[in-house]
Amino acid sequence: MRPEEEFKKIAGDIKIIANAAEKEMYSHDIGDVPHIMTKTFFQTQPDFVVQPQNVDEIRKILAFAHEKKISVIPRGAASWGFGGVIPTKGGIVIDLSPLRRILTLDKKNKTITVEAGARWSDIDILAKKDDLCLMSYPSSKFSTVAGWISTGGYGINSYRYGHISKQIVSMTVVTPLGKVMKLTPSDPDFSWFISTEGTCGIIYDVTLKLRDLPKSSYAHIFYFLTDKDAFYFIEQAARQKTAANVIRFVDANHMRETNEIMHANVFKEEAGVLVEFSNPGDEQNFLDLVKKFGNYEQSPGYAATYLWNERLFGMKAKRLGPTLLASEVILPISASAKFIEKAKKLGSNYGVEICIDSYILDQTKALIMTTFLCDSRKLKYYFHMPLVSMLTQTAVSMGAQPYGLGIWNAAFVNHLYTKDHQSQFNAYKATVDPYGIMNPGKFLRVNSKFMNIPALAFHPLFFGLSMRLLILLSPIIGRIATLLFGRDKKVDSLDLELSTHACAKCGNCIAVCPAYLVTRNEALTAKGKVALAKKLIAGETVTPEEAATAFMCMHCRACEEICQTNLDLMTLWDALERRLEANFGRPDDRIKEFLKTVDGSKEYWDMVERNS
Amino acid sequence: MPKKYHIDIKATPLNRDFVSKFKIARGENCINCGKCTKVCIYEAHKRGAKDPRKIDDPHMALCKNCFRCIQECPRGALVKSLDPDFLALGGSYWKPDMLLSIWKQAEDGKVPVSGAGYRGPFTGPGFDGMWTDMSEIVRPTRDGIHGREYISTAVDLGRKLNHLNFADTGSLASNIHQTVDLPIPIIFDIPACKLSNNIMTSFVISAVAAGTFAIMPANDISADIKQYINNIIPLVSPDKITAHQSLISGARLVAIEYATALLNDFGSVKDSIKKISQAVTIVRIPAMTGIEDAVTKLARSGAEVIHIVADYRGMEAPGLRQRFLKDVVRAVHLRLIEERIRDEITIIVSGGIAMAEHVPKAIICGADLIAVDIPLLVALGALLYEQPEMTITLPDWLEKLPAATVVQRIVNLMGAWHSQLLEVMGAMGIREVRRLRGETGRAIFFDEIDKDTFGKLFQQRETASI
Repeated sequence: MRPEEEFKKIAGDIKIIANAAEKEMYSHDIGDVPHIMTKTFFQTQPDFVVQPQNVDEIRKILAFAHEKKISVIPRGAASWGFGGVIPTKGGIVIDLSPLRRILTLDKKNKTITVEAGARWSDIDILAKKDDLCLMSYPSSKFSTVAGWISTGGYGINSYRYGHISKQIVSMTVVTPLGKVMKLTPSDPDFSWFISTEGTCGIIYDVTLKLRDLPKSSYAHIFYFLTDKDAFYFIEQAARQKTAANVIRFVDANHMRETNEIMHANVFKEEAGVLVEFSNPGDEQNFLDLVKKFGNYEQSPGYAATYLWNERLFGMKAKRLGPTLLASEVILPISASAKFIEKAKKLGSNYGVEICIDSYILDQTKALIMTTFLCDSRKLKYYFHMPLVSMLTQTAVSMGAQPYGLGIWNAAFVNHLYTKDHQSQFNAYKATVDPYGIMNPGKFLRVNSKFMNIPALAFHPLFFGLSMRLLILLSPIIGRIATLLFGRDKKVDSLDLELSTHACAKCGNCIAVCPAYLVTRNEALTAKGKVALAKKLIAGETVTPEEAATAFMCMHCRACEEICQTNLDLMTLWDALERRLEANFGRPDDRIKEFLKTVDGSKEYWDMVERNS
Repeated sequence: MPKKYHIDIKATPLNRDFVSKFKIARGENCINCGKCTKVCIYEAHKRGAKDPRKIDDPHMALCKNCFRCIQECPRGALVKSLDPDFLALGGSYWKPDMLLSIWKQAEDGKVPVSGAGYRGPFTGPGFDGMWTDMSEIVRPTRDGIHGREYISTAVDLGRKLNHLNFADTGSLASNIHQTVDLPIPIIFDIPACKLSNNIMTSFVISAVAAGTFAIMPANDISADIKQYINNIIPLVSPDKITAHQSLISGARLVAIEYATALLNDFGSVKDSIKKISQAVTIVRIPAMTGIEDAVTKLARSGAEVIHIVADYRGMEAPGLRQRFLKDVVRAVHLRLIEERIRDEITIIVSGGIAMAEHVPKAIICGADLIAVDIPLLVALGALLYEQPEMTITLPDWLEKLPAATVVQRIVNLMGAWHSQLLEVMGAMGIREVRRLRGETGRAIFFDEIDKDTFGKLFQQRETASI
């Protein structure tokens, strides 16, 4: 008997997704990784997907998986690109994205308790009604709480408030053995659930600290002729324990791309440092301090405010791509400028333009995101993908830590955790997950199909060696590739086909989609429909069921408003619906039924009111 | 007990957009959430008939201007404003609101209520400068709704005697003139634009239903309309009386077009009619300078009913001065009283009768009854524009309406006007519309009271300053 059939018998109210088309959504994340690297090495299609709604349901699923020794892959918004939510050998995906209620807001103690799948954006909106707000949050504000806790945990305001783990009051976790634990930071178990990518258990709920809502936001950009000057400035400023919420470095290329997206010349195309404060007092203290360092050129206020407000739309550059590849590392500030220099050289060998966006984490460390635009539809993409690892390799050889492991960074594990730490982790994992069912085949060790032989490629020793070799040979390989395939030109305007490729799959739309809220079906969100449109354009077969699902839409434009890459989604939907209607007809009865369900849903009306 | 006069009203909505005072614009930021469809109790907002995922434009004919959708829209996407099409309607006399009110009364025969509190004008030109007596407004409360049943709105048309003469034997010596009774002081006048035979027939049938008459040019009376001759007043010119012999012979009332010659020769015209039938004769005379003299002269020469016709805004023909209908009627009424012949003839007035309240107001000024014209067309969806010149546009679907619908809508309008007449009379404590005629004491004329109260003050100040 197939596992999903067996599970169905005991499932009760748990929603199960087992049809192939819908399951497809759960076999990848935000990354644009060709099938040859995923499907050949791993069994990325899960056996089935479940959407639990409470602790007991989570326990029931884990008990089933534990008994059958089936892998369990917890999943949130899938907006992390290292393969953390990609199944490596099938199994059960626990989709926590619909488990997104905000449970209680404690105004007096300034805390909020939310379910694992709660979106940062929803929390902030709700908290703001009580003059409170989040301390720090990821640059993907529409991702899930448990997702960020399980992965990087650094983002906006981390300079001021530190890693997300410092803002957790408590959280409830469920282990594969069925133990439900309410953990506080003082518990020894606590740290094993932070940034461990869902390998120890499932987070059910989290209580977070909030802060008072600042009255306003005061942003400044300082311009520097070179990256080195900028990082020298940052090093000095970071050391002074200033009250900045954010210190962010943005390189000249990033500035240029921002200009290009806007079709305007707002920013000087030089390295910039963005700082942001909550009140004018802090702002003034900082400006006084800066005066002591020297006289720096500043952007106009509106430009600084614009860049600050664009912080949540980091993937906008995809409009110019349509593919954006990224390497993220945590690097000492002192080594950052040097790294950027190397990265740009490496990039130029491959004919790409390296962009740098960096959040300063504390007095010494910077989270550096190195990105470059390319085109996943072209053959040259196969040369561009290893470039990501080469960039990470370059960074780690300069003392960086990889910002998370997943599958694609797993080879850098020794740069993140000491051997000692790794064996401690393994010992702990053996106690909570003796059969190793939680998110296997990645993180500390990659496992693959074919007796694990392909996985050798991800073995730290082999991987490190090959990367170093590639970097060494990059002036030759990269140049030959560029010579053969040419340089990618930046895209200026997007047609429908390009739009489907420019979709970042970031999941912002899922957070705001009312149809998803009610149906919990990712296939009918913008992300799902873009994937469907891609299939249609590629000429792949589309089932009537998939076609009908695409019509379950309220036409509320929420997806278009929130889209990272500013895609013209409403036009895309019209085109998609026209095409589907021509082939399959319009599912009028389904639409009526859908509207009735939406209309009767309390959650839907709560969402409508919340956003009013 | 005689049968009570009653107008059977029945909701006859056309479900067509006439004009609406407001329009609701749906902004780009509408999220099709459906909140408006839920909060609107009049179902003006609905999901799309074609694509139910999108919300249709609001059906403004159903909108009652409650503003609930505007308030409740979570996105503030609905914006309500005065409809420019609405504002372009009518003109200085025919206010867009009047047209809308007539339309609504035709829809269901009920009296539309607009606004809250005293939103209407306290005073203004025309009939707006008249305040009717409301001293007995408590009556409906005191007498209950039954009070209305005792109010008579009946009038009679024809010549009446000044006094009765009796023979020595005690028998009546005077010759009692023929009169025609009407249960309601309203007759239908010739519509101001060309209408099809079907619509004209419907007009007559609605006159039958309301127990009243419709004036029609004799040439327009087709063979199939002729069957309703009992409720038709054929309008003929004095020299065409014999030509329309067959029409006149069946009619109870005949209207004669005014010609100056008629002033000295009414007797012979009447005689030629008498040869054909017993019909009571109406002289149709345009309101003009010197109308008082003409009416007096006609009355003296034996005229039975005189129909004074003002223009569509209630103004008399341009002359030395152009008076409004109310002043024309008051002048005529007063002159006839001075001449001691007011009670002997019946005065009909028309032109500018646009609202139910104009009926009692015209009667207070001295008319016995009124004739209504343009509102009959508006009830069927006609639009009136005063600028740049008076135009009445008929809806293109008018001819497609079933005759029964046309009839019922006009009946509805008359029902609503009748109701309002009863209310106004009830508020005055008057039970007979015939007793209301010329009762100027039952109204306050703003111009007069203004002059009485402040005239002297300002006059004094003026003289003092000289």
